[in-house]
Amino acid sequence: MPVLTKEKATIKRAVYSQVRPGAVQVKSVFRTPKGLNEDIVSQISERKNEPDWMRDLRIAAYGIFRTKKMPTWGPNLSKINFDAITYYLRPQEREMRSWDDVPAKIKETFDKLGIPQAERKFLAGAGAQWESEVVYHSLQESLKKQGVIFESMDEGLRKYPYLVRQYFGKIVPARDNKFAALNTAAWSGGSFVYVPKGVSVALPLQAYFRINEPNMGQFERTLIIAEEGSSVHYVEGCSAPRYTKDSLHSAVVEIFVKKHARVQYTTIQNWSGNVFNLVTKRAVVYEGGEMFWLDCNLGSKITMKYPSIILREPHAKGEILSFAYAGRGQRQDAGGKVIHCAPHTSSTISSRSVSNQGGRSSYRGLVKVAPGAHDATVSVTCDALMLDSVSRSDTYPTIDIAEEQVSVAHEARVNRISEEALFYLMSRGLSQGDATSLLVNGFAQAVIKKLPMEYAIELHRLLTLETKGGIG
Amino acid sequence: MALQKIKNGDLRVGRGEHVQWVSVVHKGWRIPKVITIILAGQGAQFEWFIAVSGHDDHSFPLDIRVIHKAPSTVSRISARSVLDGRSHISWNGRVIVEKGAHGVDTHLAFRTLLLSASARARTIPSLEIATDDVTAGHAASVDRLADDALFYCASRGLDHEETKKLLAHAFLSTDAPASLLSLLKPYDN
Repeated sequence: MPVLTKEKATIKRAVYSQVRPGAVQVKSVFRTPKGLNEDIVSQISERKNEPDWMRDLRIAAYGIFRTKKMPTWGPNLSKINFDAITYYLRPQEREMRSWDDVPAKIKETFDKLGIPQAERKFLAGAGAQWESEVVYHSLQESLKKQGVIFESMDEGLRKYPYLVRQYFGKIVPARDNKFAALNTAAWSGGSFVYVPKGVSVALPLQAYFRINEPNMGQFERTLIIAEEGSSVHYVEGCSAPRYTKDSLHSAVVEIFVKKHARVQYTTIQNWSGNVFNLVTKRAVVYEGGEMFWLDCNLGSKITMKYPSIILREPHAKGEILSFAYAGRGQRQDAGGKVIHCAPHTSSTISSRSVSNQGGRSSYRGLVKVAPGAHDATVSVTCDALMLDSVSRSDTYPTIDIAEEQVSVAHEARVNRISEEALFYLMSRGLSQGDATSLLVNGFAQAVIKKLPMEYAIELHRLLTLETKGGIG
Repeated sequence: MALQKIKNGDLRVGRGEHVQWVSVVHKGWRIPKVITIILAGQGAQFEWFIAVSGHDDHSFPLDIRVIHKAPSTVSRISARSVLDGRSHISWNGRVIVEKGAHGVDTHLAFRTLLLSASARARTIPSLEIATDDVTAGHAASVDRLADDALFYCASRGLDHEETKKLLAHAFLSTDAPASLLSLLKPYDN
């Protein structure tokens, strides 16, 4: 009988935020009543001292949210009760400038989240989302000197209203879909990143997101602007404690990749098993720019997330690499969209998914080449791995080509674990669980190796525990 | 059999049966055709090769559903289209492997060659797999005539029109079974 070592228990706690009894709670001082109406929307705006144009934008978006229908394709979202959600919640803590100023209580929670010591130091330059608001945001001095702005979205709006107004809602307008409208009406938190011309941000900018209250929706809004010739890597890690009531996470991310700039946006999402994770992420890439979405979806009840790239000017490049793990009772509806609007643009979508214990993972993608976008090249590959006979895997790729001078290739495969490989490993003395988890990790390797190291380790451990049946 | 003569409806392939369809299509249609193939009996096999030559403003809206209900069933659909003029295809292929249909082997491929800037291809080859013991795949590609092939033919004295016909014919006949080859006349629109 293998001993459930202390180490394993720690790893479990560290990498799987769901298994964390006694997570520390911080009392919130202001919260709106449950549900959403025009009054609440104005209240949120007033509470944050927002300019009039933002309040008007929120109210208009709320009107759109009311009239838009729920999406009829994809997973069933009828169980979301919009009236049972608290849309805004303000924590007691004020914004902090350095790690030392972060209250002990919050540090304790980070401790329980298992953020490694080294990484905590690294958190200088990171924003942590604590109940809808960023509580500390420490920007490295060198970045400040370079003119890089890395603020919470609320702070960004306060300090740089002209910049925010110029870009906010321009890629994902409220009219885009019901959840984009909801986010525009009720957003709070998220990050605002501005990288000036020619500046290369060497270290990834990181933000931690947490839902810390049952039934509390999180509607963070992130806006990244990378000016000409700049480059930046933004990392978002999400985790949430387990609660019995359903919660909703509906974020919007907008990214502007200007001429010859490069942006990488990495997500490791590990919501608890009761969260509806419905996210709209979109980037516009200008001439010679490059956008890279790296998207790992684990946890949540239902995830619907399709990072999109609009290649707007010639020689723009886009890449989407996504990984999804659907365990018991989970539905991962992920994928990617690329729209080629200009000549000589290229894109790559690569998706890997694992379904286990009755989970269902889907790839839903779009490749569109508009007339005039000649010499566009597109390559899409989807690989799905099914670990048992009760799970399910779907692929829904849409390919729409209206230009002759193109090269588009799409490949998809659904497979189970190779019995031969399993037999080989077991004949070398590995248990079936170990052998399976080794093979699943191998399958995910293409994604893992592109992650920053601490996330790579986290994903590796999480997959090991999931596939060996260590959690459940 | 010519595709435009196939009516909307279902085809059931029973236990141990092997059905092969071969379709060569030159004329388009307006109202989408919906064709469902049900592999109902163990060991049923279905193969379908489609070659489409689109020109002028012909459209080819087609929904193909393949449902694997029984174990050890096999399906292979390979569609190749060459589109010229303002012709367009709009194809929705959906392969469903139901629970308990172990040992299914399925592959769906939509390959398109665009010869004109106004031709348009919209394809959705989707898979819905509800059991683990399967080999399922699909492929889709949209390409233009390769520059090196055009150059090679030009250097051998062929004019552009002839080259186009030759390469289009070669594209349509790749992977085609012998029975289809005899039906494929040299590409000519």
